[in-house]
Amino acid sequence: MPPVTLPTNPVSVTVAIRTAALVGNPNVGKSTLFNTLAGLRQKTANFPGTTQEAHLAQVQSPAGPIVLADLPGAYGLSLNTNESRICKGVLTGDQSIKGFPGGKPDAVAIVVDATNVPRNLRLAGEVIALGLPTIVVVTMTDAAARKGIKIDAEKFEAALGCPVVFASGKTGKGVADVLPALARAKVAAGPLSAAHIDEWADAVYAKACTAETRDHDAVTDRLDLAFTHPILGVATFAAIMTGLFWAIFSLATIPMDAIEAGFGWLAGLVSNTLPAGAIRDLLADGVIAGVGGTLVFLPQIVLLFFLIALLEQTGYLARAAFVIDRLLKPFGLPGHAFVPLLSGHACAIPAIMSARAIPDFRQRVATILAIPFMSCSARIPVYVLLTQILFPESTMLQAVAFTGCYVLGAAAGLFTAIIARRTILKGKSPAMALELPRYQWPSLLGATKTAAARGWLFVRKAGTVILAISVILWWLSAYPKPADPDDAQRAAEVSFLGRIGGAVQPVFAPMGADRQLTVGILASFAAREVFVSTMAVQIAGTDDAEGEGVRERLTEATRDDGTKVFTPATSWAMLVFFVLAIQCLPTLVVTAKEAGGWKWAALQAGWMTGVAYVAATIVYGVASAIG
Amino acid sequence: MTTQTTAQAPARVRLTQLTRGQTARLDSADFKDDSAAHLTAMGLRPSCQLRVCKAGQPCIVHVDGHAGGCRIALSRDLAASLYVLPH
Repeated sequence: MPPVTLPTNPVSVTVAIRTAALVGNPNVGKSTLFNTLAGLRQKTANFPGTTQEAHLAQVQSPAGPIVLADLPGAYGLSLNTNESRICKGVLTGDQSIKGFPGGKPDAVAIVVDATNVPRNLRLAGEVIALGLPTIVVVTMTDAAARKGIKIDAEKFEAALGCPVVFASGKTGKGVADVLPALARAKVAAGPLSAAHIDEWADAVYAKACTAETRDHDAVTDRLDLAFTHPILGVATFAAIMTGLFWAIFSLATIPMDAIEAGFGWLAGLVSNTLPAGAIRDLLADGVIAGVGGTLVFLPQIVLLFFLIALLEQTGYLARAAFVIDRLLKPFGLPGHAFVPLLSGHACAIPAIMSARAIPDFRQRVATILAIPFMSCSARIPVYVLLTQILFPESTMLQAVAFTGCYVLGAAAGLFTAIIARRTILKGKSPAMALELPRYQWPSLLGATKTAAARGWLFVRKAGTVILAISVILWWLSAYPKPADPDDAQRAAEVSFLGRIGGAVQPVFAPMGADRQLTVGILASFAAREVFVSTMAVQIAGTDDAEGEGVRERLTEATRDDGTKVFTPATSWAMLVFFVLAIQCLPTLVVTAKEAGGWKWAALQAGWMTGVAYVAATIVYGVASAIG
Repeated sequence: MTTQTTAQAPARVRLTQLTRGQTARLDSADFKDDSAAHLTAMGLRPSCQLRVCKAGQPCIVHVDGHAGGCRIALSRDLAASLYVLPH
């Protein structure tokens, strides 16, 4: 017997539905349903003041267009989590979404997983109690049928007091019924109070659902045992991650080379067709070089997100988080931080974006602050140059120094995480409790959509912020022109950037930098790989930084006073500086967005530059003393 | 949640004391923060039926919500804060 009487008189509404929100527990197929409803018309917006993303789409229902918002998956509306606060805020009209017409949504669709109805009904009860016109969408009905769970649609509708639709975002079955049902959304009575939610959920369940068998999934048990095993679990994780990063570093090189070649061809075309002058230089050296230099990382970003989305869909990542949690705990970071930290070795930008998977704010920001210390692929040209200058005779010692750079970067990142977690991000880390989603085959289409959306965000950034910065830097380094426009060395001296370099040089003098190295550091503030070409332009009078001759000339290059530019002490100091310094403007832009404010980007820039400056100064002092 | 035990009733133990395959009913929780609300919302509500799928770190339990239910992995600290009545 159900312990409470269920309401039987739902209130009909005649309000036209112009906006609607999808809410539900995590892993119930809500976003898959949204993707199927929205197709490619969706866009990503932010909930102002939060780091959570909202997905919006204008969909066509029989009663007219509806702006549909996919809210983050939450277990309840009153929990101390971001997702919970956002869902409640949107449903009560306190939290706005950019691009979503103001106030509360006109209707809400609660997504309920058929394999776990009682738990899902807790959230449903909380949402219904808010008094919005509601419908319930039941997903995962195939999985439920396999487990012997049956839901009687009519009885469920009667018990809930609002329309019920059965739909699968994955197969598309029943999805066409969702939007027409929204037009029939009803304000239902729901549970009497928060204290009665469990009773209400049990009563609704007892009225409408039956279960023939109990769920004992031996295969899942065995997989879980293996994937969370202290040795086997770590070995599996290491194998999967090696495969992932092999794919990112090796497969991505093909499209990366193509993009580089494409922009090279474009720059050549511009140089050959346009008459010599400012416009040609702006297009070739500013716009094409800047945007091309950034877009070259697009394949790595798209591939990383594609593979992570595939892994996530299999259900494996939730298990892996526990395996790695033990290793990262001493640094105040959770198991979820591992993939972002490892991804940082390819490129900090997608790595910081993937830190979203970390539920706790303090842990997420600590991870974001640590990521840019990981030696990304853009540091490689600088490492190659400086290790070769340091050890021209021994490839063995070059390799040791190279590896040392990676170790130093990772150590500095973890050190930053500990410091942050003990000071500005102080607070007890929540003990890990994760729902382990069921294992399933990943959907290539879903992963492609995720990767495409991430890739597009990156392209948009390359076309706006990064483009603007590239143009400004180009202008500073190109003007004013020297008397002889072909004298590249003189041009580097008299340009605004060269003059700034001369003025700022005393600041970098303690780490052994002369005017030319200072210009190299300043020019590479926006993108560290620029250091090599800037040094080449200034010292060798040619921008062919890849040629063997250039490297030799850089090794032999002299300062204005006749001493060598790259002494061992200066080279060590520069190497340490480039391991630790931020030197990447796009990273700061992404940090500001993901951590929730420019103050975090400013802190990151200040901290990394400060650490790099102090460390490089110490290294220069010690190396000079040793000789 | 009751903490009273009688001679017939099974003794209340920590979830970490159960071995793989054992089933139990959730009795009470001993949390000082808001973990309790979170775990309840995830499906670990008072009196729910549990089956231990894996003991240790993490402790994986299958929560039987009548049928179907869900699978929750808990860090050892959390599992040690949950008291259960073994079947």
